Amino acid sequence: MSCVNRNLVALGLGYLSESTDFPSLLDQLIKILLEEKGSEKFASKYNVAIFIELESAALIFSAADVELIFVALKNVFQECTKENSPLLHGQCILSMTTVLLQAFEKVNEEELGVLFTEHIEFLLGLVNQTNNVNNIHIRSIAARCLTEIEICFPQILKNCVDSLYMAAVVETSIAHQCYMSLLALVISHSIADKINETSLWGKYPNTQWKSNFIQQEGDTLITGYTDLKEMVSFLVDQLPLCSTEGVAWITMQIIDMMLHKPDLQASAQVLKPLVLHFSNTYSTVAGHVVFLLEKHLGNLIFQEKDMIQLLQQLLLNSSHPSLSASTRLLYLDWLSDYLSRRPEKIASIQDVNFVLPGSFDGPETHLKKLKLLSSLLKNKKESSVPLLHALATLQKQMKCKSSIKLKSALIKVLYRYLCDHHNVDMSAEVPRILVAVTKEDISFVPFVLNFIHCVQDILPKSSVPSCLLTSLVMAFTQPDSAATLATFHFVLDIFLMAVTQDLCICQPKAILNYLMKYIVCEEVCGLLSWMLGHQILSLCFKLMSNYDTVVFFYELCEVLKMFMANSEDVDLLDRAHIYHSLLVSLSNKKIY
Amino acid sequence: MPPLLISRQRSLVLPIACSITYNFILNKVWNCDSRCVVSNATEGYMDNHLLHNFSLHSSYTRHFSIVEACSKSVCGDAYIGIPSDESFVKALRTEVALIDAGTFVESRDSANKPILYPTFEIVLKENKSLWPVVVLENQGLLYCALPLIQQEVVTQKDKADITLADLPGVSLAVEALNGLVQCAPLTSSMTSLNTALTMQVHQFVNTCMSFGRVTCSNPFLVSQLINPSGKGKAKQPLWNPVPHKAKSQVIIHIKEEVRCMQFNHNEVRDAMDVYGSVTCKSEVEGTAPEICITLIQPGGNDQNINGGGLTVSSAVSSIEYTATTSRLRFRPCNNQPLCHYTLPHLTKPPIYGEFKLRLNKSLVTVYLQLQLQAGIRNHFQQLEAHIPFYGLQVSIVKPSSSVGSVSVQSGSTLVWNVGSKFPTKLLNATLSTVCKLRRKIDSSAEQEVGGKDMNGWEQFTSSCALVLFKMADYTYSGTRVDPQSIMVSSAPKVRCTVTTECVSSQYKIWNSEAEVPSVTDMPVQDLQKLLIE
Repeated sequence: MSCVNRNLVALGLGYLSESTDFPSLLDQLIKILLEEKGSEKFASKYNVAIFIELESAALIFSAADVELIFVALKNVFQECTKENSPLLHGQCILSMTTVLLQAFEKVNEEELGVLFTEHIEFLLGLVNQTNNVNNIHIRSIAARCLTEIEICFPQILKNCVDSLYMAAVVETSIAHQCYMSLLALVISHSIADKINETSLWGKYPNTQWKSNFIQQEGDTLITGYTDLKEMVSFLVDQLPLCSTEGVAWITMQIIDMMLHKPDLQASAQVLKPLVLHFSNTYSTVAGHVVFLLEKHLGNLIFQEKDMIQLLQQLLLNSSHPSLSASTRLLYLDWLSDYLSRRPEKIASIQDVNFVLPGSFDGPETHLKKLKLLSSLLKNKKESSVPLLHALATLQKQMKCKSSIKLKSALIKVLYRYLCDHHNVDMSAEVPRILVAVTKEDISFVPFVLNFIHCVQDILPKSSVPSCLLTSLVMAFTQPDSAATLATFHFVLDIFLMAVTQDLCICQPKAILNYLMKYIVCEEVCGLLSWMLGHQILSLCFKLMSNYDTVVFFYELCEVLKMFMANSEDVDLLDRAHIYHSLLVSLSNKKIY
Repeated sequence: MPPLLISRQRSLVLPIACSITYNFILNKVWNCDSRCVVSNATEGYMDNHLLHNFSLHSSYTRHFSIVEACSKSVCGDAYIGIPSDESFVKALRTEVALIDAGTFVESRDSANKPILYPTFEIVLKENKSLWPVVVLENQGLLYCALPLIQQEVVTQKDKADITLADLPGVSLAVEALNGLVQCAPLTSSMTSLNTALTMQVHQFVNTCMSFGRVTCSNPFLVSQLINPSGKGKAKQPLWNPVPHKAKSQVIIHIKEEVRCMQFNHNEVRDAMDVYGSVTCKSEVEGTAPEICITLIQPGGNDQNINGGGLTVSSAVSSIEYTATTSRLRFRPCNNQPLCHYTLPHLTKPPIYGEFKLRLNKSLVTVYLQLQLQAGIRNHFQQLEAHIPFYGLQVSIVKPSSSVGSVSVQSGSTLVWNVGSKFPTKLLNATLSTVCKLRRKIDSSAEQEVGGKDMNGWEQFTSSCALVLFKMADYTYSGTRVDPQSIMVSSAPKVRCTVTTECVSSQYKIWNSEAEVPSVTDMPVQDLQKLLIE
């Protein structure tokens, strides 16, 4: 109810939030809709219509609820016809359609059959009032409602193709874009061998719906190649009148048709003007249209120069400082996809600066560009050095400012490098970089440990994890280790991971000596937190259980003894005492 | 309540059989009054370096119930409902590192996490996640949309092989969010979406995105789309719902920006970009009018010739290049940039700077010299230098500048207002001042901490001065549009106006005596060679 109340308040209907339940709220809403007309009532009726659209799922419990809403909204709709208020008019049919489609989720479909049929008739009736200057907006919305119904019940408007085509041809107002979008979808569904079933599909109707309103003259469905070709040509001819989003929708339907009907691909050249028109754009929607045409019908439409132009545009938009970061990142993704499908075009990148991270790039752009660079240089000899060199800006930025995003970016890039270029150079350099960064900033430890896990998963035979862990243990058991008591838990995490590995990686003696000297010594041990103390003892236990204690018996005994001598916490003392007893009184085999 | 926008959107049927529908979430994610760290070198996508302290509000959320029904059907058991605004925003903030910004979060920072920006996987409770949440940042606010995509992609565990190129819903979401940014021009200082603004957003969404399907992303057309003209015999384009009846006029505006990073370091090369946008506001007769303009750029701008680049609105139908001109033919596209250009061959900054900052306990010595390059017009609407000390309070002990005035803004930024021009003969100006720093204290607290706790202050030595300038009727690159070249297909006589301006954007001069966040030359030649191989 809180979300409902929020919507009520946002729509200026907060006074209704006192209604205790949904049925009584619905009653209140209906009451407002049925109130006398008047300009002051317009705003509240409009808001109620929006609210019903937003909360249809919560408001409907039975077919009676749906009918009640329909009656009320239709009543408002008829009032609007006299008062010429297109906004409310349009909202009424939007809300009615939403309620009806939503109702199929909650109400037995048989109870909705009549209402559903009547509603489609009603919408088609509106759509067929072509060139009526008094209801252009309403007819646009009606066409969108029919589009939504066709999406939910694919092929339900199959029999209306000819009528919709005629309406789209005749209509001269801006409603024609909605007509064309609907037409394109219906044709696309009509010729599809298999349609995507939605939750609503199959719930209605068992017998295919037939329009009584539109008279069909025999079987005039456009299924033949010639008709279809003409239809596609018609749709393409009308594209210059549409918004970019409209062009995208219709073009995607046409691509869909061509993929379903390979015969139709012979006329793919009709889409060439679109490629020329959008080849220099920064619009993500228009750009994606060109990209999809290249991807699906590339060989039929694109010539070599078009391919190069597309590459140039992808490079430009992925680094253009005027464009938003979201847009640039999207173009970077497409660029990566394009070059992975067409590796022969990599050599056409005339300026590698486009894919190199720059001073103004943020962590996300750094990451994405370096990932792209790594994939471009896959399988190329001697690529490791320049790739690692390309990391320099990121590393420098990390030196100036410790940021989680920069750390995250660095670890992801190195992981990608290693996956793409698992060679001797990279296997040696990646651990070196990671250890260096960790020594400078110990909070990097969790990233490195996660890196080890990820590499172990994807490259089980790689020597990098063991090499890295060995180096880390060595680095953090040295007297000059940068760890402090506050950051010691990071070091302990390294030791705890190392203890699950081979003895040569773990180096128990070095670890235990380090603990003796700096952690469980008299000055520090009393300062250890309860949690940290237990973690150290867990480490001791794991050393005992994972390895043959003969190798480090003396050191381990000393650590436990120092713990017993220096710790003031009873829990820790007990636990240390138990481990010490186990160590000295049981044989290795028993401990192990 | 505050910023922003809506949520799951659906349904474009695609060749790859995907439905796209969006719901949007409009959230204010932060306030700018932050404690924090030194300003970073990077511009960064959703870079939050100034935004460590923020408060959370949710504002406008829109779900499309039919889309949700379809999403349930498409995803089956894998369906993840959209959580409450509070939960969503919390998860989103974690994902973009606005919370848990100092610690490793596996779902966000894991090395093998797929890199699919600008989409994010928002991890919810019980190990469930929403993907792909498209996120766009504007004015410190995050705008989000969640496209409906095919089940295989949603449920694909290893997203490493996914490409956004297969998801047109993501592109549409970016466009829709751009439209919403224009429709509800909010800033991070706004604390709520008022009823009028809410209704405006509702009207836009219901008219242009009914059922979550985007049919037009230009919010400025909404009122005309609701009351269009329909009397003409010729077909009326959707992009021109109401033909203009009065005298035709075309107003062109060129906004050029210069961003720069100067280091004064032997080993590090300065970075600079000159780029701009051209907008065209037109009121011209005719059902489907076309406009032609010639953009003149002395250095040229054909990407095939000099590596520069003009990227244009989808309203532009053709471009003809000559060595120094680009002739654009386009349909009216008010309120959207007609084109963006970038001029990589310009590498000399208009203003050279040298910045030195030294910290001695709580005293900071600042030296900044600015030198105008010869040949640049010496007349500014704004010419200032800002030196921020985030999280600290600054007071000027000894101000000294060759021209202009020095003051402290918002308690923590030293501002040098140079005036409207540089001294005519030398074309340079110098600031040399000493300031005292104190830790910012809560206004309710009475005690001052003055100069005692100085841990971490050394970070301020690794900082920069930000130069802000603005020049009217001028472009640094010389880019212009000849008013005589403007032609409108449907009107022989048109009133034309062309205006220009040049502004700084991220014009930073780094402390030359400290570490700088940039490096020597990148391995350009080696990489280029490898690519050609």
